[in-house]
Amino acid sequence: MSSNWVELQPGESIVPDGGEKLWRNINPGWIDAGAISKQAFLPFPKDDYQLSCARSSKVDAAEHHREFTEDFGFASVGVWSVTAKDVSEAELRSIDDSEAGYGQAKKPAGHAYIDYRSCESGNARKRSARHLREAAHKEHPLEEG
Amino acid sequence: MSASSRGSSVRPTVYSRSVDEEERFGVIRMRGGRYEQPGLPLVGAAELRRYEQLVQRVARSLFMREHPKRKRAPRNFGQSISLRLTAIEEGCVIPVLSRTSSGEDTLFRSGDYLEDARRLINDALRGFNSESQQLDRKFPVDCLQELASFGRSFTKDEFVEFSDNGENAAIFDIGVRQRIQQVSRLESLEVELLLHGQVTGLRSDPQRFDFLTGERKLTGSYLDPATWSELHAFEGFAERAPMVALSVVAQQARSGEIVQIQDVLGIEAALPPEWASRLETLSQLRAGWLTPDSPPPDARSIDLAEQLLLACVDEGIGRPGIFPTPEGGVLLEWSLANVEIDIEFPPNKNFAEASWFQEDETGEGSKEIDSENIDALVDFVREAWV
Repeated sequence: MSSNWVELQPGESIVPDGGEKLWRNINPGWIDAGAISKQAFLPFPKDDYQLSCARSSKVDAAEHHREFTEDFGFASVGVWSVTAKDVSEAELRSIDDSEAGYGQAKKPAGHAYIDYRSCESGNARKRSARHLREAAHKEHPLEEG
Repeated sequence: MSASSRGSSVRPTVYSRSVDEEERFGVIRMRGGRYEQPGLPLVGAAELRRYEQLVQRVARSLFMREHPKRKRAPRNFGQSISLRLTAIEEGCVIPVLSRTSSGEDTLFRSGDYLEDARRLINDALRGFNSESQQLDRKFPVDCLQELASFGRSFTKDEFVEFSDNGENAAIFDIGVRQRIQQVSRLESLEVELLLHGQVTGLRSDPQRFDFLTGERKLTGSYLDPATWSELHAFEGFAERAPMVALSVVAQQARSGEIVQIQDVLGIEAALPPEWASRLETLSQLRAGWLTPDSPPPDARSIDLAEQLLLACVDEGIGRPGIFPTPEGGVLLEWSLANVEIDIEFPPNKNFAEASWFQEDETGEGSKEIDSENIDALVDFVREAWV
């Protein structure tokens, strides 16, 4: 676990390091021949290395998908999940910022982010993103049968 | 023949009737490369046809030399000096060519002209085989173009031996062909080769097309009207043109540069359909595909990615994931059991960002590589793969 964690902002809290699922919408461009790019779990400098997600304890996957595509107008083929434990094993933190007063005017319900700011190199971020991609499961929409 | 014997060995191709040695038109051995397999490659049949045209041209020239007052050769001269393939003997590839008999030889001894032409061609080739590398002075200079046209399909390891009886053979190979070009001061030579590039323009009258290969734009023509629809299938209009492998007859300058495409022999997609389809998908992404300010993948980044993918096909490197990047580039992502390899072509940059790491943290690396140095990019992938 990194010792270089950035100090939490007012209103932020650590998501307990357990089995809670974190939802992540996946853009159609991130899927090629059924395989997901690790970019789907990789935040970029303009995001300040914070990867947006939502907590399963606060919103379900279907509602998160609807809100993401209909209210915010983004493209998504569906919602995948990783657990807070997966995040911890990837040497990252899960941070609930739904009550924080900064950032975008309107956040998706149960908003949280996966904190990559302590990673010391591009390859370190990519390694963590790969770990999350391998751990991720599709949650919505689920194929029938 | 039983099924087992059919599959057990390849028998040499021998189609033969008894060949009268009187009729036999010298001894020809086609060797190396494709000629080391049993049977005559069909591309070799085309070379024999070009050899016949050379012989006919030289024979006609010899006739005109002996009849300076004539303006043209007799009307049936060409028919009377044709050659036939009457056998393929065992060995590398030994096609047996024989002279046809027209029954009108007595008029102008066409058979003699044919034989004289054969010997003169062999002497000319021996001249190029010798240290002086000079053209035999008896060889008609008006036939140099035909002499240089022979062998356009040969690869560097293929050659032909021409002789009277199998001994003291004259050799014809790519080196001789290039020396003929130099000595005869031909600006360009006809060659058959495979070009990779994009069809960027197409016309049916005249039958022409534009072809972008690397940074060069070539003008091409095609002889068979049916080729239009084949080229059209790969032509780029508003959409990006896919990379194709074009089998062509082209004019090659003495410098080795291809200056013009004369005819198209075949065309096929350079990449497997699924790879090409994925690049097509990326080229159709529009601004805002990820977030409102996301640019679409840059056309040059897609082209560079395609060139690397093409090299991967040639090198037997497996298909990577092909993805757009948020900045408008293209990422090729190989996710192996314990290794992740990325080659990213950022937009408006002249380098690719190459990186690899092992999942168990036992190794990693990253560097910027000239994005047009495809060999270096392939080497990076190969070394990271191990």
